[in-house]
Amino acid sequence: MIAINLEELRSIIPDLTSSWAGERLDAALFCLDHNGHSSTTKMELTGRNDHCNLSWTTKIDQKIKNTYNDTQEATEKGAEGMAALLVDKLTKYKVVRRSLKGTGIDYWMGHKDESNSGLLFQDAARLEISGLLSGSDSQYSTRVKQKSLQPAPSDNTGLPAYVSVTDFSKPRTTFIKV
Amino acid sequence: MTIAQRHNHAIDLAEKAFALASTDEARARDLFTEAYQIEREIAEGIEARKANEPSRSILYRSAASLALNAELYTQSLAMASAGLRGFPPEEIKLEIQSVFEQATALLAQTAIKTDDATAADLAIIEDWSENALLIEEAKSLDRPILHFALSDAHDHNSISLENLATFTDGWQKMVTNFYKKVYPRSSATIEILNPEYWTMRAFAFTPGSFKLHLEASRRKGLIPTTPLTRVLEVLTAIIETGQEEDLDEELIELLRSYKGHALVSLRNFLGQMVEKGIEVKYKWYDPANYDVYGGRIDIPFANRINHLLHKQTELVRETKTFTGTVRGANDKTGKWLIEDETEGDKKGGTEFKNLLTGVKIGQSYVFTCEEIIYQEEVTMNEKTDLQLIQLKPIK
Repeated sequence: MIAINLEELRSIIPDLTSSWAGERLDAALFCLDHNGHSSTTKMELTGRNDHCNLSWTTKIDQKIKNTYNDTQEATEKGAEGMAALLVDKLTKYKVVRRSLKGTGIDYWMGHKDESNSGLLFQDAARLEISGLLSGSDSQYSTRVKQKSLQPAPSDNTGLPAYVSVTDFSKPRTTFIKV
Repeated sequence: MTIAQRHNHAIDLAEKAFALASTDEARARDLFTEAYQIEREIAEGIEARKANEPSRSILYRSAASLALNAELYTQSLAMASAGLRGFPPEEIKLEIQSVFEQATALLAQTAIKTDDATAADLAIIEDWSENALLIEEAKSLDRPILHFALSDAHDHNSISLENLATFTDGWQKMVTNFYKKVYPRSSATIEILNPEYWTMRAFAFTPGSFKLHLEASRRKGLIPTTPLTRVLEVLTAIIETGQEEDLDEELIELLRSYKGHALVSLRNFLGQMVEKGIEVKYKWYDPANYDVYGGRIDIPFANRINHLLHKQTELVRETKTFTGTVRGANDKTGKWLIEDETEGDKKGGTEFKNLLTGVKIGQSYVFTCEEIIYQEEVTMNEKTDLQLIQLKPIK
């Protein structure tokens, strides 16, 4: 069992702005609350035969609910927050970089002990994130399959990638290296 | 600010822009534009080397996407094209290509809506699309690729077989002769004198415009750089310098390094262009050089340089020396024959007949000659005439 305090999001991403972390925290809390979950909820880690114990102290007030009236945005940002927490708990990486991919943000991870001064994406691993506010088993497994389909590396320049898919209804998360 | 801080600032601006996209389009576009400018500056500061990947291509992909969101489609194409010129990992390459295709489609739509921009925008699309194809071919074949286009007064989409044969043959002769000047036998290694380095093969063409896709028979082998690229650089430098009429002195100076056969083949090529009314365009990309280069030779340009090469007769003459045993020498006719140690029998004449007086048959000499290159009137074949200007006995 892995203990995750959601408020840790504020401290584990020093390379991004505090507002980035704050928004993802609020969004994740909104999604969990929306599905009737309260602090010390158990989250299944599918494919790992393990689970996390999710806890928080923040009160989910009307302001948070007003902010995340757009549930799609809340799900995307909430899933990003959950992914960042799992990266911190399960890997030697941290979420440090973003870049624009088409019409969305692409997330990258760098080593926790690495300085951030050189070329931005050297030795970075890609993080593919997806979220479901309330997904059926088939929707969930389809989403995991879609995200896991990386282009086969043509040579040794193929980029390492992790996939994080969170379903806030159960709740459950798949976090795997592809 | 560090690169990381500038980059994070750009992506923060992009996030704000996404949040505003549905409520304040104009402000969102301004933020995307600002973010694009920051990301572009960072990307352009990174050299296109394998060691700089994947950072370089990710940043170019990011800049191309930001420009696309800011509705700056030509800038998006430029960023995508620059990203593809490096060594992007496969997945990033596919994403850059996707941005490239979206920007191309959106630019075409804009051009259709805006009559006065249509021609210019479509020309940009064609140019960038061709660059993307050229780069893709060069990378997949791992050798320099040249796109060689011919057009006549009839149209830009077809060419007569006779002219196709004349100009592909003329181009190959020119490349061959320049190659031999860039890598002279005396100083080049045996490896670099392998004809596979300068002989070219056609492997595809672009439908809709008559454009042959040519590849070098061999890329580099034991040679650290791509030998053919150096020759294409020289030809392009000559064409670029020749575009400016007030740079004739600089052009002549540049041409002096390639005196003889190379300039005769250039003169012949330009002469054929003028005679047959053919224009030539070419572009090439070498995977080791990271950029697309090219040139356009139009008829007024061909005419001017052709005249210049006819006027400057010294440029089509070369000084050559032969060392070996004299087999024949006649101081009345000026004719002579020498068996060169490496090139075999060489014969010629001289205006200075007294030079041959006293020359001993069977003795070794160094003959210094002027090589005059000319075309036979009927066959148009290239011929050379050796005129002795100095000789020294070897003791």
